[in-house]
Amino acid sequence: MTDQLLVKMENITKTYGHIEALKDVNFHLMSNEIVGIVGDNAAGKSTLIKILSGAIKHDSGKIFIDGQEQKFLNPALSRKLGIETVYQTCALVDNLPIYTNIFLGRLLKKRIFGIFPILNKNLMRKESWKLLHLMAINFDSVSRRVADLSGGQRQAVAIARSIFFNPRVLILDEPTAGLAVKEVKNIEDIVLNLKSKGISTILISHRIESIFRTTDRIVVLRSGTTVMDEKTSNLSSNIVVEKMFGIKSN
Amino acid sequence: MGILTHQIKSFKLSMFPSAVPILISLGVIFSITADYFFTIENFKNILLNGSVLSIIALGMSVVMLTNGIDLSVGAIISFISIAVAVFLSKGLDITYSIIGALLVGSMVGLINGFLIAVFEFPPFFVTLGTMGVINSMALVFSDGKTIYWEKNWFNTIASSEIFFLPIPFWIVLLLLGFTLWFFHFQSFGTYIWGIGNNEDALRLAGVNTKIYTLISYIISSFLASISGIIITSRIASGNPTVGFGLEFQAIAAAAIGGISFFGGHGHPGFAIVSGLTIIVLINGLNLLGFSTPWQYTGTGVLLILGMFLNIMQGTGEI
Repeated sequence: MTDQLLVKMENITKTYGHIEALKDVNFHLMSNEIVGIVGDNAAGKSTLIKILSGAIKHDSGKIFIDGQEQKFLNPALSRKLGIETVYQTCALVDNLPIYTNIFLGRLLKKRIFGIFPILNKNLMRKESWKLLHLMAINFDSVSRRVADLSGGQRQAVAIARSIFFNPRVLILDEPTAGLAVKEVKNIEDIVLNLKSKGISTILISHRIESIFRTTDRIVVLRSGTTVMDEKTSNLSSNIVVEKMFGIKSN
Repeated sequence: MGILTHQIKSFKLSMFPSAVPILISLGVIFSITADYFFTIENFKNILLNGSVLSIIALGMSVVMLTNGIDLSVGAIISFISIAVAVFLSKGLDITYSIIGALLVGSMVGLINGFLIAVFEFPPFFVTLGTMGVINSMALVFSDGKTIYWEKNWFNTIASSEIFFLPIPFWIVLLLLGFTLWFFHFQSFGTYIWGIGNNEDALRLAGVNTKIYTLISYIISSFLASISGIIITSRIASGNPTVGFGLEFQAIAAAAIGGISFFGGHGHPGFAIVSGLTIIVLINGLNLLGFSTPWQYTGTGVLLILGMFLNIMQGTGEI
């Protein structure tokens, strides 16, 4: 299968007051690819993916999705273009049940008497159950509040929400932060499983070993600029760490 | 096990906010201690006054669910009382007077909501400001006096009954129906609950949270306007200070009805019960000869007790 260019970001710049969060950053993503973005705190990783997901606007540069320039990205348009994002905080609403969180922003409805639209809670529960089962995630009930879930379960719900609408690009911002070893492995398996289903992933993580286990290519950002963009197989963790902090290790 | 069967089997009184057991307890206590409490006329009186507070408390609950507050509701009631009295005294048709008053009241909510949702000003200060402005305007337009009009059917709105229950109580039941519809069968309720808990999550999911916040303040002021109309009908005059202190009772009712001060928790439908609870307290204290200041004290104590019980039950969170 010929890989196609899904996302291209050219010369992206973003400043917050006097702080240059991103300076002329270039980034691209191919189909059937998992790309890891790594860097120290404040390197610009989250800013880059928030721009791609439409959550914030860049100051200059161009964004191409499937070869088409997108000038006015916002979260809804980004999703329409097949880009789904799972933020570091999971962006879940704790006091709502699992199935509502999975359909947040896109609640399913049906019409009673053929006229009045109402929430279709039964269908949302059913589809949520099917989806989580497909991802090999087990919950006793999808009506449980998200507040009652563990960190790994919350991530699983957030990822399930992202893939329900068949995205072509999935962005995961620190999906394994604060998780136990077993839960980290589960998330890695989910990411690799998604690749086999044709979903390309952009993975931001501080866990270098996770990055090496799952990605095809690694991009390193430092102080808002791209310092490396290389195939994972050509790299070692030492080289990546050196590039992240701009130091030479012994 | 079906969802409904599961809910029936797991039913416990502790699932309800403290307003329910407190209402039952107060009812028993005052039935024993206060003459005239356990009479049909007094119950109708409680339903009438309770309906007014329940309606305001319902609006306050919706706003508080979004992690906001509306201190202007008492002032809106006073202003609407003057507005509708002025309309009627000038000979305007009753229906247009009511519609005009509701529109005027809703405009205050629109202003509150716009400043809070769009400019992201703190709700406490915005509604404190509009409270001051609206209170002043009520005094200015009325010249500080009570306004009367030629007697007409408007005066009978509050006192008329349908199937032995006062019309305001039927309005409350209708509003309860709307509340259940919009909170359980429409996305509105989901997003109002969500805004109070994690507005960023909704925004990132593509939900226009500003619109929902704006609507919540319009609902609060619209419902306050309805209460203002009922009160004005009841006292058959426009009074520029009639709403004084009602914002405090509304907040107390929302709180003992299980609405969290930090948003996202509680069901606005319980405002109906909690409004009645506070009025039962005031009514009972009044029948026992306690003056108005003591009634305020009682409301404050009830607020603290109610919140404490909610936290212990787990039906409310601080």
